Amino acid sequence: MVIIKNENGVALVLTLALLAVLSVLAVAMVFLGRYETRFLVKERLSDSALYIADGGVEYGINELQKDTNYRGPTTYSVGNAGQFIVGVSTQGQPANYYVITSTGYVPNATNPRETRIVTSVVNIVPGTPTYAIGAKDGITVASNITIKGDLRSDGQIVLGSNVFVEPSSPGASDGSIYTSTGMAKGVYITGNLYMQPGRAIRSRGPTNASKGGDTAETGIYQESKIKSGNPLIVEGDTSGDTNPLGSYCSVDLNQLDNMEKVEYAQYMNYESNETFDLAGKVHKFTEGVRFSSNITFTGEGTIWVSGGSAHNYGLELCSNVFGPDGGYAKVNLIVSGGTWTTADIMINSNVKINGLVSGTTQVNANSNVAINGVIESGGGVNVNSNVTIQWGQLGFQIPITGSPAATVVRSWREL
Amino acid sequence: MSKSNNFFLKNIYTGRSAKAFTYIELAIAMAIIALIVLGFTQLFLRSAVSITGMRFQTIAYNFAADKMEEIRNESFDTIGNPWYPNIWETDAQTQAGNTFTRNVRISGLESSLKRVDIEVIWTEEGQNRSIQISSLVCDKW
Repeated sequence: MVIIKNENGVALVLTLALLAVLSVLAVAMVFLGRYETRFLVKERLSDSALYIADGGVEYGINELQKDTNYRGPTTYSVGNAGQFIVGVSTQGQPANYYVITSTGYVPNATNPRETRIVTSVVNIVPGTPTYAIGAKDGITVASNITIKGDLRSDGQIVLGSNVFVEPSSPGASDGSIYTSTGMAKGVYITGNLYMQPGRAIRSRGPTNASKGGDTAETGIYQESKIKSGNPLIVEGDTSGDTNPLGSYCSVDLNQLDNMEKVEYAQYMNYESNETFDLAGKVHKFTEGVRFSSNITFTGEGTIWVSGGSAHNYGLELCSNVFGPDGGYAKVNLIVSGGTWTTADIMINSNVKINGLVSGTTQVNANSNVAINGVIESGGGVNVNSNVTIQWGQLGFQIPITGSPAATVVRSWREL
Repeated sequence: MSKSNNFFLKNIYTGRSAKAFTYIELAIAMAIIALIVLGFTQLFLRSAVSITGMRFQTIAYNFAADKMEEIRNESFDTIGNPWYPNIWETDAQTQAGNTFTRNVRISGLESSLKRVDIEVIWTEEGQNRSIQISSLVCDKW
């Protein structure tokens, strides 16, 4: 055992040693505090990035509701708060399901301090009436007509020559003819009718058996003119397929009125060779409107006539009316009121429309008309020659009753 | 510096003239401690201020996040009404002895898309501080 006799300087040494230890502890505490502070700052920025990313999901849903073909990617600045990049995929998803992936950056995607990624599976079903042509009082189809989708009426359906009724897309279950009227010749086949296998013609009119064969007193008349598809013929039908729809005006006008719109307080006549920018809005004409020939619709939107009188048509498209580059115009044509000499809506010749054509009393489509969407009327629909109507989603979504659009967020998670 | 010219070191190294040495040691030690403590005091004070600031920031953020969640649970049409579009709604709360003012702005980007900006402002050390969170909300069918 070593005995130290001279203890001079021990206090200083011990103090310095203790001080060194305490200093290390104090420095550690200070650094710990600073680390926690930095961590909290990082956490706050990270939370902000999460809100930005979630905003990207909302942006994606909004874009898909406007156009289900939207895929992005889109880089978007949310003010000075941050940026997101959003994209959409449908890989491995059932129909109408979309995977939206959004990355939120704070303060921006170029030099981010924080990044968060979220993904959401969304089910978006656009609102579209279930029929390609629907009319309360009756449908008259002339010659050389192709209808891809269902024909449905509470009145008589008269089919001309060379009428093709097909599914709206390969594998779709539509392409049938339904009438809820109990009258004779509820479906009157005057010329060659071509259908697809597995489809049906249903009428609530009298059966062949009750009238001694396919006579002019039966619900479906001249069945022999059906040239292909061998559809199921049902007369005296009592199924839900022929329940009267009552209304064939699918537009929720109150909600339509709440959409962003431009109002025109007088009858408008657009001269030939004009371009009409729909600008994503509802264009409400309170006294009617006429578009002459060679009109190009740009953008997407809705032409809505809510009233008026003293003209042949509430809404008239003359000839050569297209979208950009001769394609489909993404426009809905709606007449909800007014008193018109001939018809609510007249679509004359060489017209391509992607949207809903909806009239209150009478809608006419003349020749060389292609409608990708739906044509309907609270009265009758007359389709003349060389017209193709293919059921499809509307180019510009508007509020639809009966089969309203629906968006359901199925899942949300952070990557 | 030579050993012979330095009273303190001379005593330490030679072990001679030990009288009152402990007191001198103590004085030196206390002086050193005082200097170091003074230095650390600044660090601790700054750290304390920083922690208080973070506490305020956490309160402010929670205040903003509460509003964001509230807005997201509203139907699209009622978001921002009746002061939409582009109008601030302001409210305040006092917590931890400080007043936090919350400004909410709804901007109509499209008929079916709105932007929500929530800013919370408070005063700290005589200076205005603020945090902001932003997001988008769309009108779902």
